[in-house]
Amino acid sequence: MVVVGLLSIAVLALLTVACARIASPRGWASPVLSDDVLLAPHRDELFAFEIDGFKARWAFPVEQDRDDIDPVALYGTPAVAGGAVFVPTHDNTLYAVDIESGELLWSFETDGSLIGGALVVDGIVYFGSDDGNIYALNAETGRPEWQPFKTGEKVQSTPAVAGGTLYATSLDGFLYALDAQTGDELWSFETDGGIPSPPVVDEAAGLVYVAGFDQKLRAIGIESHEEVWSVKAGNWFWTTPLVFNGVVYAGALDGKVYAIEVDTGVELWREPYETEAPIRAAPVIAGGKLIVVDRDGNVHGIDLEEGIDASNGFLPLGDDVLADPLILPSVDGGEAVLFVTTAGDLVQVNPETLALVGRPIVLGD
Amino acid sequence: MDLLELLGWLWTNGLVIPQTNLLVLFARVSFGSFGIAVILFTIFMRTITWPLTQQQLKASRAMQSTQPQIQEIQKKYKDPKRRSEETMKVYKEAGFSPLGCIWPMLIQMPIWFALFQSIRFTLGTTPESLLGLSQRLYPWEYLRTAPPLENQFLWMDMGQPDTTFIMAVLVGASTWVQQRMTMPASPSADPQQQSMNQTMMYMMPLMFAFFTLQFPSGLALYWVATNVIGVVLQYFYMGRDFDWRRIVSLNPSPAPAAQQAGQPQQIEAEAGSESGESDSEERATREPAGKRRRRRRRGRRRR
Repeated sequence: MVVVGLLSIAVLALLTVACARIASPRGWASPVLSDDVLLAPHRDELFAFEIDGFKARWAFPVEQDRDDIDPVALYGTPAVAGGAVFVPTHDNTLYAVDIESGELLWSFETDGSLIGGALVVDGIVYFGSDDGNIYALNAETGRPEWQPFKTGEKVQSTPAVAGGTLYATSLDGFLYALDAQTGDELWSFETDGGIPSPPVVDEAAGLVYVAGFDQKLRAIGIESHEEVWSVKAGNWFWTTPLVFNGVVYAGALDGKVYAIEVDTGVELWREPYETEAPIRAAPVIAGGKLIVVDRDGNVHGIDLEEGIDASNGFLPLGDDVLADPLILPSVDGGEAVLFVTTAGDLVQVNPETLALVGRPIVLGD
Repeated sequence: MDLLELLGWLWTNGLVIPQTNLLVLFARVSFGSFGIAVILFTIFMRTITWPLTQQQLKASRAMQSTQPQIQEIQKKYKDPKRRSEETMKVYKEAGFSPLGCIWPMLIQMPIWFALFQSIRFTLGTTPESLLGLSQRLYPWEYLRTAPPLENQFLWMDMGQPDTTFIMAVLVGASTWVQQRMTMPASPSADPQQQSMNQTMMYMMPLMFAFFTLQFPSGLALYWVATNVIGVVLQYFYMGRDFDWRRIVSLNPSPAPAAQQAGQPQQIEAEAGSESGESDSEERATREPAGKRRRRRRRGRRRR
């Protein structure tokens, strides 16, 4: 009995030391380019660089404000408008920061973590929270424009606005269409699982694309409010779909990239393009290719029409990538794709050759 | 694949991932409530480990019944080797193996550790862990569409430690009760053993209560639920005339009046022995306490 007890204590003590810590959030917010300022989030900090030469401008929050401001982690992509950067943070708060100086303008606290990004349209900042609400704040003052709209679960995606309608998805499985000025619900559409991906509005096709835990990428009619088509993957969708030339491209957590014709809902490629790991980051089009990065940091250049490797193999960045990539103007007049790794490296890649451009910049150094 | 990798693979795919999926399944059938899922999971684990529990209970009962002889041996033989041989002989005669008590408990250990990992994966308290969950769920739509699960159960966030200390108290108290029920009713004649028993009696509940403050409260709920089930099983298996006063006793060697039915009253027996009442000693060490009480009552009535 004693032996068993002592053994239990010893093993449990070891366990406590080894893994008692509750998982802490790390963040995967994507970089943003605004005129000549590059905003690169990493962990619990937002770094501002001048795009010319990547000269550091400011970091938020500054060390002396740490007692009052602790973002914990940054997941939502910041939005820029009217000389301010709107930063959603894991500590339940949206911060408005001066883009020139990095000084805090105002903050707004909710009752849940902010995992989705912010969106600014016509002087209103829209964002969702883990408290299940969708908020609309005056971009200048930070005061609510309308009463928060309550959904049935956490809201972890960035909303979208088109034609005066705010589209937002929730982990309760619904796509909500609200009046962007009043917050009144116009219509909603229920799927079979939570939706962590942002809705993407295709006004030309009259469709909204949503994808989530039911493993389906769905096209929903803006007018009919009904499903027009859907494509099923082998695992969840947790990425922002990309619409280009009548085709929707989306990566899934089964590690595959799907290309679907907007008009028919038919898959464009003979078979989905397979990467090495689950895909969280959104795809981009650069250098005439579809550029996709998987979770393990392998960058793939995919032929848009055929869905085959267009770059003679992938480029391993050597670290995980969960943040969406960003297209930057490159020094030679072309374009480069910027990736932020989970270790905090800013890596530029030439999309045509899939070669590294310059040396990586380490955030926080 | 080397041995370490193989063990890691077996740990993940043989224990952590099945438990994770089981928890998600139970959460799904209980309308997303993770707290109810943990309770259902505990009942399930207790059911499939019942043969082991039964073996432990049998061993525990056998151990209780051999206590008088063990104490005799401890008093009689000073040589540790001889003492050990005689003890093993008694155990063998009683058809009891000390390992019978140990390995059902050892089996529970990996379940606890794997459960700790499963709770972290399942509850997705960070977006990264929810992302990780997608890679651990079996390709069954019923499971895949279950997240996000409801973290809140009663006053607790199942993925975070309970800061109210309520769970720590419940874990400590239920561990104490279960421990008191399995601990032999009579004291050990070996002072070192007795001292260790005393230390264990206090340390185990305190340690488990301390761990509760570090671990997700889902794990604490599992501990409380499994202890409660253990106490109930112990109660029905070991005899319903268990003396509940032993639970509130702070002494591992209870007073004679508080001893469990079916156990010898060693202290009384020793007192009898000192006064030369050999017949009384004989009866005290052989007869169950309940029978002896009845005999005493009959004796009083005759007088």
